[in-house]
Amino acid sequence: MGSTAMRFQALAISLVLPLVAQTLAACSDNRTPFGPDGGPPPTSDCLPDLDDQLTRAEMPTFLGTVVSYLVAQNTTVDTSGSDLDLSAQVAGERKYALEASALGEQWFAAEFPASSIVVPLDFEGQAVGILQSSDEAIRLVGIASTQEDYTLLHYQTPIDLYRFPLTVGQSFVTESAVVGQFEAVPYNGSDRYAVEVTSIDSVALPHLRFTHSFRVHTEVTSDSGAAGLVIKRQQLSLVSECFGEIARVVSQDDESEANFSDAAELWRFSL
Amino acid sequence: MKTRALIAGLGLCALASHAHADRAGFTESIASGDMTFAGANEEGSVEITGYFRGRGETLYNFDLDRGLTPSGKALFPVPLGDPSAQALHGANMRLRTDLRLRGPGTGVSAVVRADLLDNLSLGSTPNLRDGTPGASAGQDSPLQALRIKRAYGEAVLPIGVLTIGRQGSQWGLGMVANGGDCEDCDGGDAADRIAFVTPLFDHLFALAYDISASGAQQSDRSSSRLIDVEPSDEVSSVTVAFMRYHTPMARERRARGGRTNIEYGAYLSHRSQDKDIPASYLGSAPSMFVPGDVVARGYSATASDLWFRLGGAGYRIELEAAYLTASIEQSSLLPGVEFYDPATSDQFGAALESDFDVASATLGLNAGFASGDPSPGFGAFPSAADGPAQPGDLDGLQADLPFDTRVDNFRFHSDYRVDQILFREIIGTVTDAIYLRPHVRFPIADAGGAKLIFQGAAIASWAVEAASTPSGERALGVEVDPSLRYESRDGLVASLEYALLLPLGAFDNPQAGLDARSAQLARLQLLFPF
Repeated sequence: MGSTAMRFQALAISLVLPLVAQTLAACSDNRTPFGPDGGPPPTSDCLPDLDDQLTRAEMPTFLGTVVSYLVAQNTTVDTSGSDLDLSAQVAGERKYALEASALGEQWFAAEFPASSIVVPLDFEGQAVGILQSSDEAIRLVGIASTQEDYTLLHYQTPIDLYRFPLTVGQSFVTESAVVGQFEAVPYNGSDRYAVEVTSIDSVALPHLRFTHSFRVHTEVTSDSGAAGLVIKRQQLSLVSECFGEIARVVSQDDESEANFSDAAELWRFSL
Repeated sequence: MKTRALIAGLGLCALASHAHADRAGFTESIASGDMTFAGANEEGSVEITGYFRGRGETLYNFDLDRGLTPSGKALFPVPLGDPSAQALHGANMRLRTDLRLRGPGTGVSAVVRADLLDNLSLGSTPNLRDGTPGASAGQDSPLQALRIKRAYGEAVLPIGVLTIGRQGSQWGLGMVANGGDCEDCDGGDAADRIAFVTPLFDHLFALAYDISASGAQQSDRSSSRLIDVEPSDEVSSVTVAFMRYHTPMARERRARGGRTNIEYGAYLSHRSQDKDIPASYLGSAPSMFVPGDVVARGYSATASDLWFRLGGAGYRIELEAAYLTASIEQSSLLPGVEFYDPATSDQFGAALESDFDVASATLGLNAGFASGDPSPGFGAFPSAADGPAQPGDLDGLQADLPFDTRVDNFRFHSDYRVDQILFREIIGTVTDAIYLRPHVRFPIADAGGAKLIFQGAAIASWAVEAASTPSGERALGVEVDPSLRYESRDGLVASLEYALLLPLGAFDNPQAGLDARSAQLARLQLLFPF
């Protein structure tokens, strides 16, 4: 308020003295630089058409765009039915801002094709997945730690996570040897990904309802190569046109039921 | 936050702009005095009126030397080539033609408003045949050399006037509905409307139906016209109005006779839209639409407006007040994505004008109020792509779904001018503000059928919501607007305008340690009416 009072006083002076006083006050160099303002946020022409199939164009990838997720661990989730209510607050959940990025200058960049995309695999930012994207599929080609020379795994056969167009009834299985090092220890195992698009559901999230989301069930079987150490996990992903994965429920280890309720992780898209 | 803007931004723009959508405006046929039962006309006639307008201006330090907003924008464009420069220059023109084509007989006519080279900047369409502007041999015709702003038919019936087509929309002072008829106006409203106006009991009563937006369309088989493929996405408005009104000629005659003119009017307008097809206006519209393109909307807006004018010999007091309320049950623009809560708005605005003749001068006080929204930025012309405003921004969306679902800032029509710099150029219009505007007008010379007139005004303004200003202070500024106006007997009008804005604390930049500095404007406008 002080500056306002002072300028009322300046106004009075300038009205008594000719307005030249203020006129001259502005006759100096411009103090406002050009403001490029960074341009508008990245947008897409993608508009959902709810035609019961999800094409590659309806899963756009924005590198460098932050997407927020609410993440809860070790919680109970009701994934039954076609009208999923994931809107309730979950005890202990936290909000994480994640973003996809180009391979760029990552420490493992030389190990993968330059066109690869890097996406966070965990909310703590310790592990990333390296993906290859085409009009036909999004494939997982490797896993790495953000800590240099700690974990770096190659899939000798790229794992198909999504095949386009997604339609209800679609299913496929990809198996691959996984080689490299895991937590600084040499690793030689195999993974099996069985993917099935089971239905189109309505999903209520904390701020939004998605009325047409593809329910994608993925069963991951990991054989570490060590005697008898095989882990099976169930994963439910809910994927919407133009948004991609809006929710993910990951089971506890060694879960065999597709409609599980005991979740190790619950990820929900958040505004 | 940007994701929210992508989902809901444009929908909120619709909410923010509803104030300028639901409006009545029957003065095209009423106020112009055309509602006269003319005598028989055997051959028909063509009446052409209009003007050529040329304007040149210098804008000095409109960025107020206060640095950038948190979003990295200047308050006004700054010169690109010289970071230290302060001035921007420009000139533009417009040829306005208003045609009234009267058919033979009584009272049937067609009306057209066509603006040629409408607000075209001089030198903006250089011939680039030889590669560079420096080698331009002249100017090319712009892509939109002709803009048809009004085209409607009018029939004077025994019980009233029936109009149909694209019609000008003006009401009261023009605070909400403004036809853009003033000498210095840039825009103007038009409505695709069928209206009936009838005189009863010394009043005029009007009923109008507007097709405000027809929604998604696709071509018929012969590609000769478009077919509306979904009735529920139509935006329509219904307006009822009444007014007691004197034509300018009658007003003048009554004043000379010592009579007091009491005029007033009111309208109630309701607009609605049930469903929506965003694919028809977002991005590149497809040639065919599918059922999945249809989203729920539930848009409802109501505007009410009161206007009052008291006048007589040597004085005029005129007041307009409007209340606008609206809700959007579903603000999402994306099919298959829904918000839980509706977006709503309640907006109020009022404007007062007064003139009193004192000796040879005319003095008066104007004032105005436009309700505000506590969100950052004024919300004058928010851009959906920018998302919600950040504290310190000049403009931006006033709602931030799903956390802030209200848009309560009232926006005056941008052609209702109260100053030259602050509201007209920097903010864009009066919104979220209170202003006082004392003004004076007196003749300097009057000889040989030509007059030279001095006009002056001072405008002091404050924000209603302190959080809306860049600094968080309410005091916006004081502006002084003197001008000289020359009017010749044969119609030429020349105006030489100057303006000085002294910004107050609202535009300081505490983060950068910069206080806002004064801005100036000089404009010469030449008007050649015919």
